[in-house]
Amino acid sequence: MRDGARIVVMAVIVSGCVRTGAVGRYARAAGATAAEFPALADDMTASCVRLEGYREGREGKGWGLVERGDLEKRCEDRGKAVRRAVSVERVLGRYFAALGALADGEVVDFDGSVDDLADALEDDAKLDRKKVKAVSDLAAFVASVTTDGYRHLKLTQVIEEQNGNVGTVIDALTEIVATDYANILELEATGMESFYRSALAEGAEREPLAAILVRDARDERAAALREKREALAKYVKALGTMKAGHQRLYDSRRDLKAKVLARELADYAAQLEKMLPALRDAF
Amino acid sequence: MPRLAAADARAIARDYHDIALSIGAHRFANWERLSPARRAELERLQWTLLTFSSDMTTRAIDLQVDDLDASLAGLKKAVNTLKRAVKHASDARAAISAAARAVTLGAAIVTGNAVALAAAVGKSGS
Repeated sequence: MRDGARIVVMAVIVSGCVRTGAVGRYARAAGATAAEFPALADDMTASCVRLEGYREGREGKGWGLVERGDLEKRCEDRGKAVRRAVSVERVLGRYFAALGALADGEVVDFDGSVDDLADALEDDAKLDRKKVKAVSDLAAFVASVTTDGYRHLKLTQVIEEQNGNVGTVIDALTEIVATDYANILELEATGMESFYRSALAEGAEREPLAAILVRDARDERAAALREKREALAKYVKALGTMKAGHQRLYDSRRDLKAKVLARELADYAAQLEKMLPALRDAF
Repeated sequence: MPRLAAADARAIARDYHDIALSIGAHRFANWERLSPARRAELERLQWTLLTFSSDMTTRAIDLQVDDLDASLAGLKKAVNTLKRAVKHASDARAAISAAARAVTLGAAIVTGNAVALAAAVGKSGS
């Protein structure tokens, strides 16, 4: 082959790799974003414990006198619900890992627990069937890519088949974060305000110096809650970016090597990568 | 007993939070006029309502699916009636009465006791 032709062929190969690499980069950034969910979810349970602490401080043995374990017991149901949501997130995370590996021609390191999750979800009649199906289908796909057969899977086909499921699962997680976690933090704020305001109304006149410390503690906790609310908003935005990126992939599934797609996916990936440090710091 | 859809659990959680907020606002706005016993009663109800709201939020996270029956419409109406009653309570007695009915209704929802729920919905609407 002449040098000129060799250069052209090399350029095509490199160009192809770069564009497929854009899918992989987006998928990895989306997976990393999903991986931040457990820390955020843990705070949903921690917030329940803090709220119970305020209640106990006013109604029970008094502030600091009740064992943390006792408060955690009261929040066991919250913990269970949160663990289920984290399991759903794990399926999404594994999907993006598989998508990235498939795009870059790598072998997928499979965590078999997602299979168990799909079975567990189907057994639970309480769950929304549409969500169960979306999670189960994603889990089934993740399981399939670990077999030799995964090499025959076409990226286009995977994106086409899983786009609806990805959207449903991201929507479910978004609702939990945007609505439920937001409500949880508001409840905590109400409980906190009631606790401190009551304590100040009852004792500020009698103990003015202690009241100053109480106000400082309240302001500190209020600031921490504000930071969590800001982080929550960032995470919701990140989930939206994740979903939009996958939808963009779906829209261009017939031409995954298009330059414009590579540019847009790189942009989605960059947005997610930019948000990640702030999310990691917040939780 | 209707099993609540996540969206309904969220709405009820929101309503109970609002009722708890109104009770708290009433307590602090009338702090000097209220007897210590009345203050304590209002605070106890407020914490119960907050806890109930917290429990309903947990149900929403659990992604529970709808298995609705006709009583849900009555349930929503009853919660709204109580919300208005607490917000516009003219005195502590009225606020305590409405909040206590909200607590009874909340307990019926949580336990899933259909008879208790029907009774609580009936009383709340009155």
